Amino acid sequence: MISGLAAMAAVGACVLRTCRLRFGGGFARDGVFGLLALLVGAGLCSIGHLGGLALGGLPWWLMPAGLVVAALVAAAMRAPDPAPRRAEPVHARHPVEGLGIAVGWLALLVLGVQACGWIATYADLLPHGDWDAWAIWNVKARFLHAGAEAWPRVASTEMVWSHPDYPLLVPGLSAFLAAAGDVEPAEAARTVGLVLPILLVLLPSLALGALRGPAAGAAAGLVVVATPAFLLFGPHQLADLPLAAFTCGAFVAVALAGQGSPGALPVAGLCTGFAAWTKNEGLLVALAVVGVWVVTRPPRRWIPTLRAWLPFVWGCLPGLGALLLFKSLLAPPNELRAATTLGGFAGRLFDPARHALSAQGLWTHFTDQVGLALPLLATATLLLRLRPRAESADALRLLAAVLTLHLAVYAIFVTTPAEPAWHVSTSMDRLLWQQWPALVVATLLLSRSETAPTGPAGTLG
Amino acid sequence: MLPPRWSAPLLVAVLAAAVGVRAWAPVRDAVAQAPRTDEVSALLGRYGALAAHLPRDGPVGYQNEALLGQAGATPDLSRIGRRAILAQLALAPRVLRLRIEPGLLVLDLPDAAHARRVAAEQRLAIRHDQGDGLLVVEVPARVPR
Repeated sequence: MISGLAAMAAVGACVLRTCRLRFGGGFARDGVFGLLALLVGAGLCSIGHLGGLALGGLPWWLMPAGLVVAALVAAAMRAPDPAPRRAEPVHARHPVEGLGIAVGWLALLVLGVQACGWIATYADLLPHGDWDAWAIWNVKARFLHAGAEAWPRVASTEMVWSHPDYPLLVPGLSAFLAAAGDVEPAEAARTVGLVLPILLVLLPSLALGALRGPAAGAAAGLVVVATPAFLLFGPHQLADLPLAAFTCGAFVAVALAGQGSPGALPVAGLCTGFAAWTKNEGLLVALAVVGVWVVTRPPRRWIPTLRAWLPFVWGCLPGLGALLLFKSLLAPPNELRAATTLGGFAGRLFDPARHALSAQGLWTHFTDQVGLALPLLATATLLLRLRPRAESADALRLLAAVLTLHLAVYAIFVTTPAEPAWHVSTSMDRLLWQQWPALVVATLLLSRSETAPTGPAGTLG
Repeated sequence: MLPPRWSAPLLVAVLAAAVGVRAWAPVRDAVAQAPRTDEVSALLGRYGALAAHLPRDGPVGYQNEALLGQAGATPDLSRIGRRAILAQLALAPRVLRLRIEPGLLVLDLPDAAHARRVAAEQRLAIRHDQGDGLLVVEVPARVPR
């Protein structure tokens, strides 16, 4: 399976290079690029593996090798890259400040290692994951692993419990890693479930470290580590953690683009497209991010803003294209959508009891599940000092986008055609956890920067 | 009134470490006490829940089981039911026979005590216990996730 993970990283690194994201801008920045490369590589290798099956069952390594060659050729044909921007401290550091930063990263290391131990123990207790893992994602992965003849039956309506219309990024990734490592798909899913919690702690902390300085970076990692209910989703082998990773990757890349990293916007688009190809609700990420950027500007700026976001749209194409092909050629209609009529939808939308249930679900999630991590996030942002309002427009837009996603989850559970109490109790917390790392990133981006990248700033329209 | 900016990283680190240690404390206990989901309990948990999805009236869908068999790439689909499901799971050499019927799960296990323990862990009501490992468990209409 190591060869599969290495192929993912190689594909992702080459694509990032083609997008003009270049390593060499400092430890935190390089770490962020490495993690984004892994995410982008995971999405592309999953899609490539499905493409190989559609073409009659190509060897697992052929698609990644083709993607690497194509990316390198595209990179060679582009103009020379600008030099990477290095982060420089903006003020001399007080000795206690330096001590605090060291204590923060040390605490993150200790708690993170301990968390890894418990996650690994938990994974050992759940070798086949939780309900959705065995009923949906790993069953689909087995079909994809069974070969070119069996894989189209992955969307068979005979297996209603496996939701035949669900997108295939996660099963495709399991099947790819299983083929690369010559193991069962469930074993590959277990590995992904162990890697993702680590990635979801490192990505916010390194991103904040690169964008706002090491104190904010340590705070971001510590806030995520303080939510075991979230990180323990890894061993459950569900698709919610991969979706959280792609959502977080998209938010981090948008923030990087706002600070002048050329090529970060198409990478944000790639992550957003892969979010849509991971779960149906992942489609909301693209709508929320672009929608917030457009509507927070005066109408005369809408067209120029959309033009500035075109690289993001190009980046969305692999994930959205795979989703479109799957939904139009193979997948049956979504059961919830099929059960929805306009009259029924309106009736549910104005039912106060459903609003009360959905609000209760939100409240329970943030008080029981997120717990003290939420006040910790707010306190850390305030202690690190808020940025001047004029400098925090992009961070506020990202926060608005993630809050829009929370509102969308609320609306989904108000209008669900399923029995609402059952639906809220079985799914709502998972959908809200999908936004958690993005919420941490967006909130801490409001804090004052300790470092400032040198060179020209970027523009998001 | 906020404390001086230079003290912020230390305050955040101490606060966050305290919150993190407090958050993981109950998990530590829960994980330490949780039983491992062995292959038999995995089988019961997974296909007990699957059986709950099947209609209570009428036969089990033949096509369902054929698909499960195909997913496991088993060459023998002639006696599709239990073999296909076992192959799909690639599990449980200790499970001798398994049959899913609407609302019921019929298991034939080598160890009756183990079968009873697993059924209790999965909170599945035992309809019939022959004492030699043959166990018929009732599957609830909706299994909690």
